Amino acid sequence: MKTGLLFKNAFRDSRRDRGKLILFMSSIVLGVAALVAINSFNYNLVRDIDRQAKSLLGADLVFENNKPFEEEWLNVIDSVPGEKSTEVALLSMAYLPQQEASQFVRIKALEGGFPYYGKLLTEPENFDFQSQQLALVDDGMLLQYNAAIGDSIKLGKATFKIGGRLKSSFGSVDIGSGFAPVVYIGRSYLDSTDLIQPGSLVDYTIYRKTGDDFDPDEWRMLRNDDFRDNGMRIQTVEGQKENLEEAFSSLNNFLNLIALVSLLLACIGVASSVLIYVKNKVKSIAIFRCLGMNGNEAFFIYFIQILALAFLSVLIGAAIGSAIQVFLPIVFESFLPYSVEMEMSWRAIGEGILVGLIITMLFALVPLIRVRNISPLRTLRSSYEEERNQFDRVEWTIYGLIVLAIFGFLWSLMGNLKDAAVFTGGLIGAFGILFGVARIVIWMVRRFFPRNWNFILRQGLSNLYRPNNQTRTLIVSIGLGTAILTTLFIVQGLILKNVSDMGAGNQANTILFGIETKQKDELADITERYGMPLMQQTPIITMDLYGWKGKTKQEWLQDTARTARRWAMNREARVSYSDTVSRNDKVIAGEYIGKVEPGDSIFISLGESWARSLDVGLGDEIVWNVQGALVKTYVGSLREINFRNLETRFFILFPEGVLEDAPQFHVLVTKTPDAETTAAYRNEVVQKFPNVSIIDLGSILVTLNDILSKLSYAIQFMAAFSILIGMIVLISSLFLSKFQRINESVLMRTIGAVKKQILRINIVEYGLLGALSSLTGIFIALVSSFLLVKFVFELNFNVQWIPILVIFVLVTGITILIGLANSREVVNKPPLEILRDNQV
Amino acid sequence: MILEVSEVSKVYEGVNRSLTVLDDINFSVEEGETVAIVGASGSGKTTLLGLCAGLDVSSSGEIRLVNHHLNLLSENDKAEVRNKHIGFIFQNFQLLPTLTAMENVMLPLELQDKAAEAGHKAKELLERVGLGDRMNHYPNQLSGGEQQRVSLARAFSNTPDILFADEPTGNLDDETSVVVEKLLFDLNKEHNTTLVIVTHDMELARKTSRIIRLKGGKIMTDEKVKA
Repeated sequence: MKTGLLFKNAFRDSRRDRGKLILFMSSIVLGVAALVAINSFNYNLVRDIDRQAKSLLGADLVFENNKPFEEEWLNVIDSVPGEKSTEVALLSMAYLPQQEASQFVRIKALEGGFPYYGKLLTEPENFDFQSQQLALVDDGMLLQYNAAIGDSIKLGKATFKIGGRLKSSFGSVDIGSGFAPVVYIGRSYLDSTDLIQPGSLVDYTIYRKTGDDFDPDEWRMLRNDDFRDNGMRIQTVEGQKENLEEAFSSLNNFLNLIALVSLLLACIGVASSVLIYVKNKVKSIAIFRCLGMNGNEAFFIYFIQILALAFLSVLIGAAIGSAIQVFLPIVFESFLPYSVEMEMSWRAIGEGILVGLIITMLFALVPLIRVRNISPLRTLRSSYEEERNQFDRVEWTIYGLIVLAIFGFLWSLMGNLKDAAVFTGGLIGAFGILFGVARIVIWMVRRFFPRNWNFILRQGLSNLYRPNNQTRTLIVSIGLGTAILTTLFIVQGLILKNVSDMGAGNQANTILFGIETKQKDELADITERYGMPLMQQTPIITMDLYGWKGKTKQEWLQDTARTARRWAMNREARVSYSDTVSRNDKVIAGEYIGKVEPGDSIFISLGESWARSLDVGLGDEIVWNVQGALVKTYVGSLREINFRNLETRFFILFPEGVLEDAPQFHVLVTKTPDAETTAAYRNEVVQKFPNVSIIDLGSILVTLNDILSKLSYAIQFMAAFSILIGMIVLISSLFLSKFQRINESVLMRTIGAVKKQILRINIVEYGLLGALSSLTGIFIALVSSFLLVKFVFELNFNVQWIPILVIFVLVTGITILIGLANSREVVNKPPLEILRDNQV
Repeated sequence: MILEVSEVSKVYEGVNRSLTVLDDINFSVEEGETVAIVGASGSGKTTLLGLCAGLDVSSSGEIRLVNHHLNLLSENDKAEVRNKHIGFIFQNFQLLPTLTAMENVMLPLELQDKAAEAGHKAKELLERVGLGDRMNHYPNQLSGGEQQRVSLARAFSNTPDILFADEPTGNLDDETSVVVEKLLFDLNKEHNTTLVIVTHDMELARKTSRIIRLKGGKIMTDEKVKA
C-alpha cells in the first residue's frame, strides 16, 4: 500500500476516537514538561554561572588560610601585580544591647576595595564600614530582632553602631545565614573586639585584583600544590565556575532523575492508553485485515496515529515545561547564590522533545506491535483470540531498546557508565519487584481462592486474576508512585529525628566554646546556678602534625608512594587530654593509658578513621609541633568515635601530664531545660564573656528544619509531577479495566444486579489493588530509604509508622474513589445505552 | 474451478483433549456458481467459511482458491488474495465505525492503490443499493438494513471473483431481509460473481443453485437445488 494511503487511513481511523487518547497525551505532556523545565533551568543556571562567576568570587585570585599567612607566603602573594584586600572571618557571639538579645554570627573584618567585581548590596547604598567603627549587619538578623540602623551591636569587647543593612551577601547560599548571619566591620577595628584568642576558629583571606595581562589560572597552576601542602587554598574565577557547576550538577542530576521517573511513569500511562486504544480498535483492524490489508500495514496505520499524537504531546509538554521553568528559580531561590535569568533554552526543548518522543514511542510500541497479529477471523468470531507466541522477537527487541534508552539517558545525565548501569539496574529492580509481587498476588488469589465467601467478595477478588486483569499495570504504576513519595517522607523524617534525638533524654543540647582557662571556673558556676549539669569541660590545644613513622610531613609530601590522605596530613589538630576516654567512644585496639609520668613515652589515642587516613597503626611514632615545641608520641590505642550527640569528640587524645601548660582554651557542654532558660543563660554568658560562643541544639534544629523544608519543598514540587502523572496513569489503567469490565457489569445490571452490589464489587477489587500496590511501594521505599539513610546519610534507621499509614490509607482510598468514579457510568445509565456507546 | 477443498480438517487442541470441528471435507465450487452451506449451530459452517476465505488455517488438507494454494501462502499473501479476489458480507455488517459509508465502500479499491477509481465506483454502488443520499453518513447513523446495504456495496467494490456471505440476513427483520437478499442476488448476477453463503435460513439457501449440508463437522449432503 502507498504511504499516502496509510496516512489517509490513519487520519480517517482516528477522527472519531481522538478523545480516547487524551489520557495518553496528558501523561506525555506532563513527563516532557518536567524534563524540559528542569533542563532549561539547568542550562540557564550554567550560563549564568559563566556570566556571574567573576562577581561571585569578587576578585581574580583569592587566598585562604585558617591561620595568619606567614611572611614567606605573603611575599609570594604580594608578587602578584594589582590591588589587594584582606579579610579575617570568625564565628562569634554578637549582643544587641537595645534588644537584649544575643546571636551567633560570622564576623568579617575587611580591609581594602574588595569586592572588585560585583558589589555588596547594602542599605544605604555603597555603605562604607571600614573607616569608622560601624557594622554592616545581615538584613535578616536585623528583622529577626527588630533592630534598626543606629542601634548598637557588641562584638567581643567592642561595641559598634549598626550603620547599614546587608541585603545580599553574594557568593554565599542563603541557607546557612539563618544560623550564623554575617556582620561586616573594618579590619582595623577587629583587635578592639579581643576575639582572636588561641583556639579561635579564624579564616584569613587575601583578595587580589590582577591586570588584564596577567593569567591567574596559570599562576595558580604553578603554585597550587605548594599552597595546598601548607594548608592554604587558591581560588580563581575559572575554578569557582567549575566548583559551582559541579555543585549544581548534583542538584540537577537529582532533579533530572525525578523527571526521568516521572517520564517512565508517564510511559506506563502511554502503554496502558495505547493498549486501551488498540483493544477498542481490534474489530476495525480485523476488518482491515479481512479486506486485504496485511499485518504491517495495519500496524503502521496505528503507529502513525500514535506518533502524530506523541509528537503533538511532546510539543505541548515542551511549551508547558518552558513556561514552568519561570517558576523554578522561585522554588530554588534559597539554594542559589545569585539570581538566574530565565531564557528560552532551545537545547532543553530539543532534548526534551527527542527523549520524550523516543521513550514514548518505545513504550507505545509494546501494545502497538500486537496489532500485526490481530486475525481477520475476528470478523467472523468476535470472541476469537490469537495464540500468543511464547517468544516474540520484535517485542523483546523493543524491551531491550527501552532498557537501552533509559541507560543512555542516565549515562548522558551522569557521565559515568557504572552509575548509569547501577541506576538502570535499580529501576529495573523496582519494576521487577512490582511485577513479581503482581504475579505472586495473581497466583496466590487463584491458588487459595475462598470459594465459600459471599458473591461480592468472590467477584471482586476474582477480578484480580481473570483474563485481561489490570493487576500488573496498577501495582506497578501505583506502587512506583507510592515508593517515591514514601521514600521522600521517610528520609526527611529520619534526618530531623536523628538531629532532635541528639538532645533527647540526658543528652547534651548546648555547647560553649572559646573559653579561656581563667574563665573556666566562673562559667561553671554560672552554669550550675541555672541548675544545669556540667556534662563536659574539656581543654583544647591546637597543634600541627610535624612527622610520623620517622619522616617529616614535608618528606612525606614529596613521597609519591605515600598512602596517607592529604586531608589527614594538613588538618590542624585540635587535641584534648584526659585520664579516661569519653563515654561516647569505644577503644577498639590497644589500651588507653590515661596518665604519663615525666620522662616516660607518651602513648596517645587516635580516632580509627583518622589513623586509617594517615595510615598509622598501634606503636607508630607521631611527632607534633605544639606551638613551637616538638612532642614525640606513640599510637597507644584506636577508638571508634560516636558522632551522634552534641558533645565534643577528638580524633587525637593525649594522656594527662603532657599538655597542661600549653596555651589552651576550653569547651563546656551542658543541657538547658527549655528555650527561655537558654536565652537568659546565653545573654548572661555573652555579656560577661564576650569571647565565648554558644551553640544550642534548638537553633541548629531550627536551621536544619528550615533547610530541609526548603529542600523538601523543592523536591515535592518536582515530585508533584510524578504524583500527577501517577494519578493519570491510575485513571488510564482504570479506564482500561473499565473497558474490560463494562460488558459483564452491564450484563449483571441487565440480569438484576443493583447499584450497591456493583459498587461493592468495585470497592473490593480496587481496594485490594490499592492496598497491595501501596504496600509494595511502601516496602520498596523502606528498603531504599534504609540504604540511603544507612550508607549515604550514615544515620540511625527507624521508621515513624503514622505518616506511612496515612500514605497507605490515602493511596488505597484514592484508588477506590477513582475506581468507583469509573463505574459511575455503568450504574447510572441504562444498560442498553452503554452497550451502544461502547460498540465498535 | 474457483474453489477446491480437499480432505480438510480443523482440530482445536485442548489441554486434555482435542476437538474436531471439521472432519475430512471435500467439495469444489465452479465459477459463477451460487452455493449455500447450511447446518445447525456448531456444525462447523462458519469455520469452513473462514478456512475457504483464508481467514484461518486448516489442521490438514488443502484449499485452492482462485488458483492459489491457501496453505502455502503467508499471511500477507493471503491478505492480497482477499483484497483482489474476495468480497465479504457479515452478519454483523463489520463496517468501520470511523469511516463514512462512502469511505467504507472505497476502502478495498484504495487498498489496491486505485484511489481515483474508488470514489467513482463507490458512488455508483451506493446509488445502486439505494443509499445515494446517505454516502457521508457514519455507520452508527444508519439502520441495520442500510448498514448491510453499505456492506453489500463494499463487497462488490473490488469486483471480486468470489463472495463469501456469513448469515447476511441474520441480524435483519423479514422485510429488510427480503430487500437485502434481492440486492445480493441481483448484484451477484450483474457482476457474475461466485457466491458462497453460510446460513441456517433454508429459504435463503434455496435461492442458491447448490446446498451443502453440514452436521458435526462433516458434509452430510451436497445437492443441486431444483429450479
